[in-house]
Amino acid sequence: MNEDRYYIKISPEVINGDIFNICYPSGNTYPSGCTYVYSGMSQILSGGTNGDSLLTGLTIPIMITETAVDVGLYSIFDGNLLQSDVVKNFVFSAQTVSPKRYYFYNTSDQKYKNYLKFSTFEVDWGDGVSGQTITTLSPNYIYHDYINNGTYTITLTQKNPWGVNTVKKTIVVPFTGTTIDNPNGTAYFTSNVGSWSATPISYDYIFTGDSENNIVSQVSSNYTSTPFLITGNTDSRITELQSYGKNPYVLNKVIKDKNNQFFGVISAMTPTYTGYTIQDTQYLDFIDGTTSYLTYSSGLIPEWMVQEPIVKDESLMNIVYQPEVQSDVFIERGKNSALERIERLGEVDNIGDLENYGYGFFNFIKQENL
Amino acid sequence: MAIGTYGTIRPSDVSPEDVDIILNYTPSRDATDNFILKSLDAKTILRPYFNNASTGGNADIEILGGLYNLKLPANEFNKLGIYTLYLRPAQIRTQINDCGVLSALPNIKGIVINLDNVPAQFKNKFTAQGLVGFRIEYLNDDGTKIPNFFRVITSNFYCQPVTQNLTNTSQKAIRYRYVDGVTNLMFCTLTPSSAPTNKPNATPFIGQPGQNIIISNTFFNPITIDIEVAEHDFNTLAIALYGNQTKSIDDGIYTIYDTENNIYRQYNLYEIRDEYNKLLFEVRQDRGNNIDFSKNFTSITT
Repeated sequence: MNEDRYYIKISPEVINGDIFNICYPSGNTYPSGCTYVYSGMSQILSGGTNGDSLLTGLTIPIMITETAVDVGLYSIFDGNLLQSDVVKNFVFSAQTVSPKRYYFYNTSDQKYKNYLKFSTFEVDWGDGVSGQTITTLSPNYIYHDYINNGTYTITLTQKNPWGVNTVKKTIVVPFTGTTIDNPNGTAYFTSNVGSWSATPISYDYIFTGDSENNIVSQVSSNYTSTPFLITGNTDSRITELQSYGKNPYVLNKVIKDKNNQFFGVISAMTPTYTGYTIQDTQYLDFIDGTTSYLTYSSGLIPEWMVQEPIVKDESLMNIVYQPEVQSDVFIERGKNSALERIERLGEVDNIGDLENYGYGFFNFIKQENL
Repeated sequence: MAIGTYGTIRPSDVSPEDVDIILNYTPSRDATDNFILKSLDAKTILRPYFNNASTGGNADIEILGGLYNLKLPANEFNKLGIYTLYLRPAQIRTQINDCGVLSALPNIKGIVINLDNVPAQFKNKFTAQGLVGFRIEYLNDDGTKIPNFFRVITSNFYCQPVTQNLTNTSQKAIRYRYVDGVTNLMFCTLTPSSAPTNKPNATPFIGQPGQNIIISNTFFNPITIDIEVAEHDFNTLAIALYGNQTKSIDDGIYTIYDTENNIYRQYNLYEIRDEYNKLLFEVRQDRGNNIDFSKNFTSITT
């Protein structure tokens, strides 16, 4: 017998109630009292009302089991929510002081770049100049100076063995700082081989048919104000502000880096602590040897943060044996629902968390001199 | 990365309502046709055991798990023979309303089920994510089942159709959007629904609009229980061999008693002779229900 099949024999020896109790009618010639007569199984089975069995309490215990199998494949993809635009996307920026210069940051995901190592990236600035190969990822950037005013489409093309992914975003020259329509652009996919007639070749990240077609209505109500204050303990960096001479630490003396840019300054020297600033981070060296730092997050202001709804890519919930790059998305063994809101912003308490929030939800580009 | 398969046989917590019980009766193992095949109500005859103070857990509330008590109804188990009980996951028979994609994520394919086509007793299963892990089998137009083929539901949510203007006319204009509220449409993603990397132009079959399907849970492994109801066993045979016996000289009634000295069998013993009084046969004839109660063993021997 295995666990999926049971054999049970019901016979007189396993039942209770196989005895007929026959009591004699009064006045007969038999000895008084009752005589017990063993009844055969067939008599018991049909001795009830309407031929039913007399064994009305016949029960058997059974074991019901299930085979619980975990695929057992764990990878860095496990539990991750990966949005399509994480694996190929870019952001652009410009400054009103030089409104014809646009900066381009390739934000295609870096954590998973091992899976993208076959990819090459090319930027088409949309003004007729031939495409420019880009080999670096954000925060490195490239820029392009437009000659004429107008509307241009910047295209990032990611070529990989599976096909070609492109993301297109429209810009306006000169840059005026106005709101950018559809900042996430439109994603396209062109396969290398095969017929993809049933596969959408492009889509906006926000579908225009939604009844509430705005980002705000689709994002979590949890939010934090930026830039936010970050504090903590660290090692002292006072030695980086040393000057030559017999008095290496000079109050309010600006220390510059090798590029002659502001590096830091000692702002306070008291009997209990020494205060100084290095690269916009304030440090306090206390007399007991501890050091605290105080800084603000990267300096992004809400206007420069791209809000987008976090929607789990449901294809990631397929059960697959390996992480696979399929068309323009990564496939992983997902665990959670697509409707699940990723409301983890409350856990963000430092820059690293914010950068990792939503697996690249915020495109972190530090803007200077805006 | 760790690769392997982890798992074990675990006691199931299945609810009786998720179980189908099919009964097959045959009077003999030699019978090859005229089977009696009928469905029994699992909610009535299948009962899980619950923990008590001795087993630990929350007494009478927490299911023990795995161990169930199956009652054999007296109106069905009323004959000698072989009964085969087949316990399988309950089958929900319905129809694919549409095969579509999500409007916001068009690369997500799935089937849409209209809850109006779902049997009433199973509608409580159709909640958001309530069907995850369920298996879908497909029927052909002629009612036959596609053999050895199934898909597994990886997610299901209420949805509503939305209309989208598409430049590519070969694509469907109707797409679906998840909604938090209850609707009569359920969007189910299945696995596999994505093309394999080695064949990127292949779209796995997940069904067709209007196709009849069978949805069944995967809460437990199907089992069969072979129940043989027999007339005799070792005990009764031992009674016949070793039990007390009496033979009434006057009327020839031969009585066998069981271990409790209850009358077990009673026979008429007689001889058949020819006209010349030559003995031809000695006969032992079962009296059946015609019991002579005066042959009470206790009365005879005291």
